[in-house]
Amino acid sequence: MNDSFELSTDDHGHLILRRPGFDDVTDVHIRRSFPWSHPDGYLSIRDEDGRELLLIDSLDALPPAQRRLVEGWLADNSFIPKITAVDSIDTRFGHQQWKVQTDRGPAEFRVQEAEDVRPLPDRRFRVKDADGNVYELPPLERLDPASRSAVEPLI
Amino acid sequence: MPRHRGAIARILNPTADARETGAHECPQSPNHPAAGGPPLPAELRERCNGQLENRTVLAWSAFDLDAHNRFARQFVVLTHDALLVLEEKMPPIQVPIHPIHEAKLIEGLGVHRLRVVAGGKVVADLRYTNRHRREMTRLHRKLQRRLSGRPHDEVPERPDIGRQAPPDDLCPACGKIIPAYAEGVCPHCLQKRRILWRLLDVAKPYRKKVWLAVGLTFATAAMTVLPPIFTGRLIDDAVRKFSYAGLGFWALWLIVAIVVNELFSAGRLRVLSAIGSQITRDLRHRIYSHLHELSLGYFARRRTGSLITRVTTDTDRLWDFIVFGSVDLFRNAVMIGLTIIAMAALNWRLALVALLPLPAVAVLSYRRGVRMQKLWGRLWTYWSRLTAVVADVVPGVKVVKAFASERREVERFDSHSNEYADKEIEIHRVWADFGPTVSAAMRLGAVGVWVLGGAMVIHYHDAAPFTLGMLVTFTSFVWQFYGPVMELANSNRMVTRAAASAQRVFEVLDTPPDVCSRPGAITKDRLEGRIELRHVAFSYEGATPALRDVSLHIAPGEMIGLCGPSGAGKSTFVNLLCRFYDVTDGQILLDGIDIRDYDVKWLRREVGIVLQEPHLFHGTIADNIRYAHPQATDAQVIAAARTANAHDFIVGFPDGYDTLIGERGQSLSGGERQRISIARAILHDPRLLILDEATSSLDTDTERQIQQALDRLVVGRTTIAIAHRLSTLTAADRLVVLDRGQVVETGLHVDLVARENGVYARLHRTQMETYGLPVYDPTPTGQEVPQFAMGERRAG
Repeated sequence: MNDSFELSTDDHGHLILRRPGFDDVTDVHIRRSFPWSHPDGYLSIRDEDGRELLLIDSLDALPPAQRRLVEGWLADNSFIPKITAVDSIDTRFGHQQWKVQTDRGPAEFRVQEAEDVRPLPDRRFRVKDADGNVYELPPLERLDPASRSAVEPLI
Repeated sequence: MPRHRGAIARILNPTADARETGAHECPQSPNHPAAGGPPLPAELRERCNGQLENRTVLAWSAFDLDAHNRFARQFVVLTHDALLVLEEKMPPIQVPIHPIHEAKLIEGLGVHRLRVVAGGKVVADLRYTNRHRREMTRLHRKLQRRLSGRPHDEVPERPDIGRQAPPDDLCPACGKIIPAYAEGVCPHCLQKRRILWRLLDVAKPYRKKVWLAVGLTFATAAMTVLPPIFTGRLIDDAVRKFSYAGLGFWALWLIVAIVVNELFSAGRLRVLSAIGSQITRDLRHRIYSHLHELSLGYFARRRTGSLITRVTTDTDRLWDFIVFGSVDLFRNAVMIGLTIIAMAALNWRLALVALLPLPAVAVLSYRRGVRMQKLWGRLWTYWSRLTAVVADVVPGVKVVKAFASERREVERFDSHSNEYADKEIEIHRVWADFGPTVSAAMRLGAVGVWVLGGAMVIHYHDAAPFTLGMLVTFTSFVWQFYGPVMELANSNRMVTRAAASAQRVFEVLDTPPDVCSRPGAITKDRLEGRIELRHVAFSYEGATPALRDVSLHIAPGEMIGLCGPSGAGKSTFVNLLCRFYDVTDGQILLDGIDIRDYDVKWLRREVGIVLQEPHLFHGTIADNIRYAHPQATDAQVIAAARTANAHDFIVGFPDGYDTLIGERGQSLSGGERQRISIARAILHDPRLLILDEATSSLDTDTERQIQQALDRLVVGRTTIAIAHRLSTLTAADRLVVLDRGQVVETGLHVDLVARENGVYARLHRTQMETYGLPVYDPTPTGQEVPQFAMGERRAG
């Protein structure tokens, strides 16, 4: 990892990467290498065309202001609602129609195949809907009993 | 909505099966507003508060996130001079178009944005999830076109012929919004009952048989009431009167009742299984032939396994439901009704006692049904996980062995197998608890009947109002009564399963093909093969555009070498030319006519493709060569094989042209398969030939033979050859280099390779290094690498 770099934003919300000895790069993107298993490690800073410029080994190594900037950018540019409660799951029609509450407001979506509810090693679940949107489902024991009994038969 | 009704009517009305012969016919004529795009729902029009007056709506879309990435229901409408943004509970915001100097789609992870900049400021930043990606991309494209000031008539706007379902359409029946994922079928209206009624509609051609079955069912149910009555009489009139004649008489009646009942039963089953088979055959046929009409895009969205299940398992389940389920429901209801009537007629007080455990049994059975259904569902998931492990590992057994990880694989299998076993034990525990409970309730009810009935027999001294025989009749009724009650309580699960299967089957049938012939589509006697692309843009399912703005002229008989890095859009180019997909923007002209005006089947007959890994079907080599042209004579097959350099090796096989492909030990090498597919293309004799990486996976020697075969094939046809290895494009008249969905260079090899920073020159240099050939030296004295001599038009 290159030690000296600095990220900043312009008025348009674009992220700018400054490194000594290199030209500034405007509109860089950040991607997590392990979004589920190790979200705070190995963050890839890439240019607009997806070429990696820099790999940050760990968020913990960043100065607090830089870390906030990176986290802020990621929060703004990725959308994975966390499901807080499951109102109902209708499985009558062969697919699953989920009605849920999330940290981003209520949502209703359709899960096409049973395999689209994928268990993660840390007991969370990754739920992918028919449009390709992804939701995070906490470990079952963290859900209220009604939600749990709605989800349980499916996983 | 007329579109659905049309589709449904077509499916349900067998006479409308013109789709089999004149297939690819569009469900509806494209009488859409000229401005293109789906019409604006009235609800939105209202919310625009009169701001739409004197404005032409070009496009609109819903978008579902607010500035803080929270869910919200918002809309954006593009008119000819402004962008109207309708946020929740807010007056519409108007963004005039002319000061806009940039409108950009920013694709993120799960959240995408349409950012509009005017006067150096971000004036709109609309956020949306994947759900609205498709419409937002479409709206952005239209906005771009307004901004670029490109005249609108340059490429005429055409409505999507097949997929007319505007996303978030309103259902005319219930008024609710049909989400885009439902593909035009309103999920609110698609209720369990309605689906099963549709199944009944499919049975219409067999109406008479259905009535026969219903009649027989009714008769069987009615006749089950007789034996208990006869038994009662046997006791009262024969046994208790010590009359042998009476015994014989009533025994005879009993036998008759039983035999006739069973005969009716047999007849009913026979009729029903025939109807069931016929209906499911019809459904299978419809679903399979409809699958063939659906566009490639549909298959890209589904898993093959799920489609196979629909054609096989789901239709089979429906058979089960038609033959046993539906009629059993009916029969049980009739039997319960008749038994209750019979019991009440006999003695209503006793009937009440007998019915006492009924509510308990019904509630228990229903509860258990729900619970079992959940457990079965979960068990099914575990089972499919278990099979997935096997399905995953068996084809990869070589890798498992190479890494010596057999042990780990067995452990992985065992962990799933254990999970399954645990769940199975749980199910059987529920099952085991339930049976005795219900049985106890019923038997206790029967004891109640015995006690009260016995008391009545004693009270009346076994005479007129209530005799021993009547008591026996009554207890028989009680036993006969509980069976149907339990079955009916259990039927919930079966109905649900059948409804799910029917829904999956109808979902396929209700999907209109993306690509289809418009009514009155054109066919021509002879295609010249002149191709023109005008500002063609395309994106798969709203994803990042695969082609951005491609314009190109190809002369008849010309051979174009299409190259570029992977992901440049080469295969997309071919997909559009074959009309596997329709352009999202722009136009493709074939002999000066829009490709969408031709009959799809005709068009595909005129286009031949040789793929990198040709798919040969199960059958003989001769069958495979004849695939496009089944009437071809043996001599024609041989001639085609000769031209493809395939004749010699085919005749070398013990079975010659009759060799079965795919038979054990008769697997063909990649080069052999490729040459057979070239022979197939030669016999097909297309005017437009597409070679999609036809020689990529072959060794040099085989490649030369195939190149030779291809050189013969391309003569006189408009040809588009895609190749990674540039050396295989030596025969091309012109090279077209694609990069990121755009044509970046066109011209002859000599010219392209001379461009210092050109994409082609770069590709060429890397390949030369990889294959160890001398790098082309662009200095004037430098000799060109011989096999790249290009530029001469081929003879013929």
